[in-house]
Amino acid sequence: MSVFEKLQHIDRRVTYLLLVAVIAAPLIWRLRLPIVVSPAVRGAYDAVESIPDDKIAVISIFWASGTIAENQPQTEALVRHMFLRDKKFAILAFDPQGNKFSYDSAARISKEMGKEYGKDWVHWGYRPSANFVPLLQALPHDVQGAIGKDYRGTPVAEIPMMQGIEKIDDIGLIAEVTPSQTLEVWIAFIYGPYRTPLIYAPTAVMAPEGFNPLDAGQIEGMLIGLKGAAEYEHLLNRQDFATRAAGALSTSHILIIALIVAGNIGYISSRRRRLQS
Amino acid sequence: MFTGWLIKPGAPQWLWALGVLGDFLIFGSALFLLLQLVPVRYRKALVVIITFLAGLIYSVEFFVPADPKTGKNFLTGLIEQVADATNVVYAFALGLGIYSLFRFHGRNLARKRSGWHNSSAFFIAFFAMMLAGFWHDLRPSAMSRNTYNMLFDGIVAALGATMFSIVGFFIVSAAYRAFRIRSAEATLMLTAAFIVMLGQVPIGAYITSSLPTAGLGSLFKLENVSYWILNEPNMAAWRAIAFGIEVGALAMALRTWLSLERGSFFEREL
Repeated sequence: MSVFEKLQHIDRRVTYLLLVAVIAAPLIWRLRLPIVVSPAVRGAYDAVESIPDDKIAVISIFWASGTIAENQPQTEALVRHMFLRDKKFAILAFDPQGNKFSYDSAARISKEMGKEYGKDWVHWGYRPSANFVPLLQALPHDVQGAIGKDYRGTPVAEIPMMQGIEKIDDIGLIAEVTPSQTLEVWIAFIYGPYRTPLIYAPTAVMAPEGFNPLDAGQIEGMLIGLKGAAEYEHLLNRQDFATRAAGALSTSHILIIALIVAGNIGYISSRRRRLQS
Repeated sequence: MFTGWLIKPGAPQWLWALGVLGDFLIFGSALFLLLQLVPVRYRKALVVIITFLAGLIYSVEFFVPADPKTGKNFLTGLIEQVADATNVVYAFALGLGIYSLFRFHGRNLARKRSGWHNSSAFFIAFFAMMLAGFWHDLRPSAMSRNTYNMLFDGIVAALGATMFSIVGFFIVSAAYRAFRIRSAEATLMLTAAFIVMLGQVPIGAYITSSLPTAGLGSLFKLENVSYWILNEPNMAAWRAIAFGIEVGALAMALRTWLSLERGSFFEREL
């Protein structure tokens, strides 16, 4: 087998090993690269900054452990920003795993930043995704009735932060953190009739779908996967997990490009030699 | 239902859990028996009518204008109850799923089929997580919390993340094997893919960091070219695709709502 043919048929186990190496290396030895904030992330940041003081934000959680590497840093960056600016927020989970992850994350950051559950933030708990549309239909008219009890089993009407939060007008921003195509439901049932500002934090693979609503002004901004979370951390002057992992993401993309280029060099050269012979 | 009447607020959680399980069994059995009492030729019609009415409530509620004062129409109040009913149906599906798993893996174990040890792993995992969950909920203590967290964070979450991460290896291997510049279109796609891949990670910004941050030169920075590709050509293509998908979804929804869809349920005798 010639070198060019070998370039086209690199053993898959070699590619797997290379991938492990290029992901692990930047996580062990930190790779510092410049982070440029995209307009989509800047829009999301500005939307959080402009939540009116008398309104709360809602962070909707649709993710589970499968996309924890992308969606958890996004959630934590948003939570941290809201705590920093004293914006009150509620977390609402539509995934049983995301329910616990989001509660644990917010509780940890809350403790770290000296915030109080029920006063500065609340977790509305888990609702089955089958209940997503009916909940979004009921929420605008009666927030407390639609939610019922929080994560800890306390009626939301008894939570200090929820006093006066009755209708959709009392919600100043909704952040959808998701690996699924759920944004359109928020747009159809909340943004459409009530014009409540939305921001979107999808996994990178779902991001292309977010550019349409972004262009149409239906969402204020977007955090595109792990990179979006890293950009958000950059705006918060922090270097948390997303910033550290962005180095590993960079090297893995470079590896994929290098492999594709190598495969194509082999392909073109072999084809030329075939044509000449 | 009966749970709410028979068990008073403040009753221990295990009593509530038993009540809900009782409700589930009593009403499930009652509904099943009722369906069996309906003559065979009417069963399908009954399911078709219930499907149509359930869909009708959502459609009519969405399209009928709301009272400007209350923001509700005459059906808005029903939506929450219909949602509860949907959840009950989902709960039955959950029970059916558990039954199916037990049956499949139980047979594997009983007959010692090849891979029977995987079935035993299912039962161990199922009961360990279930017992830890009930223990954590019904008798909260530091030990029950630690056990639950150890199983959830240490095993469930780690396994879920691992399963998804494995896809990354296949993507690398598949991209390496599939991306060949066999035509002009493939070359164009590959070029766009490279730019977006680099623009989506900080190294892209590093590669073109020597270009000016403002003016004409800034347009050629990788992150800006990548953003342009996503925001312009990608968006145009996606709009067209989305339009097609939505029209298809609408047709599919109508077929399901009107029970015109063909499949295992519709072609079988109930």
